[in-house]
Amino acid sequence: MTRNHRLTWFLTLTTTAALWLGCREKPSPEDATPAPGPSASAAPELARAEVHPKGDAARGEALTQAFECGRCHDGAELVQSPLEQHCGHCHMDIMNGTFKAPKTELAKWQPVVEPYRDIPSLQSSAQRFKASWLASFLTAPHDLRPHLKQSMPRLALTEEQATDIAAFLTKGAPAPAQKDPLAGGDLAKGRALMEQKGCPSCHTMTGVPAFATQPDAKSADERTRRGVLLAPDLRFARERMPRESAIRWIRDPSSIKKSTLMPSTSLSEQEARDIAAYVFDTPLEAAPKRAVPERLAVLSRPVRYQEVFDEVFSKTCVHCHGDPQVARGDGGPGNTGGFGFKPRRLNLASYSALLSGMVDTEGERVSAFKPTADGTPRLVAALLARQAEEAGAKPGEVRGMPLSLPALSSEQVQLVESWIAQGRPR
Amino acid sequence: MTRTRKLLAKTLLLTAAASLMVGATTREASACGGAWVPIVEEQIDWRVPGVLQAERLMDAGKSTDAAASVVRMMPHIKSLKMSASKPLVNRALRVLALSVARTDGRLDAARQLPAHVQDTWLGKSAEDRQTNLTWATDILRKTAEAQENDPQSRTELAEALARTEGGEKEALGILEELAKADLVTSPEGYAALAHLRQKRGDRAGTKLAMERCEAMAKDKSTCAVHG
Ligand code: HEC
Ligand code: HEC
Ligand code: HEC
Ligand code: HEC
Repeated sequence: MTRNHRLTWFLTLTTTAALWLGCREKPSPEDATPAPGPSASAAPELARAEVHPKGDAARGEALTQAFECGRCHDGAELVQSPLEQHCGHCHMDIMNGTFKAPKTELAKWQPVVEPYRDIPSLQSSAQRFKASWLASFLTAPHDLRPHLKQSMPRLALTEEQATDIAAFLTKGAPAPAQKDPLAGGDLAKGRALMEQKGCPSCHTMTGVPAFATQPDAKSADERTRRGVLLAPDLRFARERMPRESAIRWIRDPSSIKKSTLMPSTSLSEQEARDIAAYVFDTPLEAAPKRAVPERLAVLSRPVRYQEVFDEVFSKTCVHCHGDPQVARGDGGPGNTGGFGFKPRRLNLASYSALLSGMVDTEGERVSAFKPTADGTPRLVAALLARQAEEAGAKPGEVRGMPLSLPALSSEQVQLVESWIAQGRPR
Repeated sequence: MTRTRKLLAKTLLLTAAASLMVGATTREASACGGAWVPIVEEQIDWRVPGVLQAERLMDAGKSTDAAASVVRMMPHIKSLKMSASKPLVNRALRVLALSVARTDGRLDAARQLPAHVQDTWLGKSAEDRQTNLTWATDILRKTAEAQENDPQSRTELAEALARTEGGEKEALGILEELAKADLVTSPEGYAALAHLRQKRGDRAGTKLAMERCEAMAKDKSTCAVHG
């Protein structure tokens, strides 16, 4: 079935499905309860910070609503979007088979809704993230999880706003310890223990020699598979996690974050210190460089709209750049606005809608094909920008698209470019 | 469509039809980012996929098929009014009005429409054609007015205006403005622009608009300059 058909059927079906579908607030299986686990009190008491870190936490909280963090993330007492808008919950319900639709349809959607199903919950961020890291990550997000397709979108956050949000997420964070809690850790022992305890069965750690075990993203066990998806590359731990939390996290992560998929491991305090010292202090080689994919010459064969729609727009774009008339006025974040973005009115659901262009930052209607400074049509520039973002380039004038999803392949970009170069035939 | 898909389609329509019996009011569609879930509170509206299908046909340049499917689905459509609370009806009206405009008020759909729903749609007399075009222009104007500064509905209004007496000047104004920003949204829109420019003796402009039309259209006959 072509994408086109699938979408039509999704529409038809959910009409039926929606009959029984109330908009309810529901915690995702990944978590919900912000309360610390029962073992929390067993962990060493960490002193509370007297002064707030830089940034205004109250303003930060309001910003998390304005930027709709709760449309994707659970935890941190974020205000959750209703099911009909929640990218994570709806996809999760479909994957779990609890979305009210016929089994045959669920089976058809399940293979394609994996993006956004697994989004890390922000529960207990204060123990897990340094404010400084949060602030820089929010303004310039990068990929943290090697097996997770979706990533944190590059939102239109200023540095000040990011600092406020970081202050909100780290409210009540433990004060830095007087003495380095990881002092006296044995790095070599730590590495051996990691291998022995199976840490690399979920975690990749780039920048160090590969472990013998490798994460199995295709594991038959659902929980393991999701654990692999959500396990961060451990090279970032030293930037992200306060050193004060490392030992407790490694021994008993659910005492910090109840819903985590990382299991507790039976380790002595010293063993955990050895591991933490390895994770936090072993020298890292430079991050592996991803090359920007080659830009291919335009095709000489005719390319028509339907092919571009089927191969590109219907696959990822229409889920954020939809037709507002068929969804109670909500055309998705890339059209009628969302995630803190103003409405850009770019509708990629049909030929004439695409040719209607979009609203630029000054509020002026402009063609989606309007050349940027170097002559590249803006639409293509957005696709190239996403490829460059993935290769670690500094964010430029045009936001990379598809937002928060993997860049298109060179062949897909070539298809779009060829169609535009041919005069955008219908 | 394969056999199984046909079967599936039937099953779905049946499910939908069965739910129709539930009766009561319709809330159009629910917002969900891009996932367009048409939430209908107490009943299923089978016209949702029907209108979507008609729009797809229209978008692909098959305006007669699109129009015929709308008339079959809503035989009394001429008596319906545009209304902010009935987006689905508005969309159906727009599809029909645009088809009527593109066929000069003369839908070539005798075989697709049972006699009792043909109304004036076939445009058999000059009077019927005039009635049809006036109706279509009115609908497309209201559509354009309902959407603030939307190039697609403005192009479509201009397409209709270009075919009515007294509407040409307004049509040219709209199309020139859109063309300047590269926002004419259909080959038919460029064909209308070529036609209007030709009437004013703007040969270079006619050629440019023609070239855009021919690059965009599937079938060059779409671009034939008439009149
Ligand atoms: C479109 C969905 C989406 C939205 C909206 C979104 N995020 Fe994220 N965010 C993600 C995904 C997916 C990841 C995982 C990224 C990765 O692993 O590379 C992530 C990662 C994060 C992380 C790192 C968490 C971890 O465990 O590694 C933080 C912190 C974060 N987001 C904060 C925010 C805040 C604050 C907002 C609102 C201002 C926000 N996000 C909005 C999807 C989203
Ligand atoms: C009410 C349920 C629902 C909500 C809410 C929802 N989606 Fe989806 N999404 C679906 C379904 C069903 C599909 C599969 C439909 C299809 O492929 O035709 C899908 C597919 C997708 C895909 C296509 C994946 C692929 O590779 O084909 C993307 C991307 C996507 N959604 C993104 C989003 C984003 C971003 C949001 C939040 C702004 C969102 N979705 C909200 C139900 C939902
Ligand atoms: C079943 C998969 C799994 C296994 C096995 C596992 N982890 Fe994790 N780990 C995770 C997940 C998932 C997270 C992300 C935390 C969250 O958001 O729930 C994580 C987070 C972490 C973090 C924090 C990283 C950061 O950047 O925030 C560290 C450190 C860590 N794990 C170390 C270990 C060590 C050491 C072991 C072995 C003793 C281990 N993990 C075993 C899944 C796993
Ligand atoms: C997860 C949601 C999402 C997905 C998926 C997505 N977009 Fe977007 N898109 C947005 C948002 C939000 C904006 C507005 C960004 C802004 O104003 O800076 C946008 C803006 C754009 C722009 C204007 C960029 C500019 O700076 O002028 C283009 C072009 C675009 N998208 C194309 C695409 C294409 C093509 C795809 C599919 C390959 C796609 N988008 C997928 C959300 C999305």
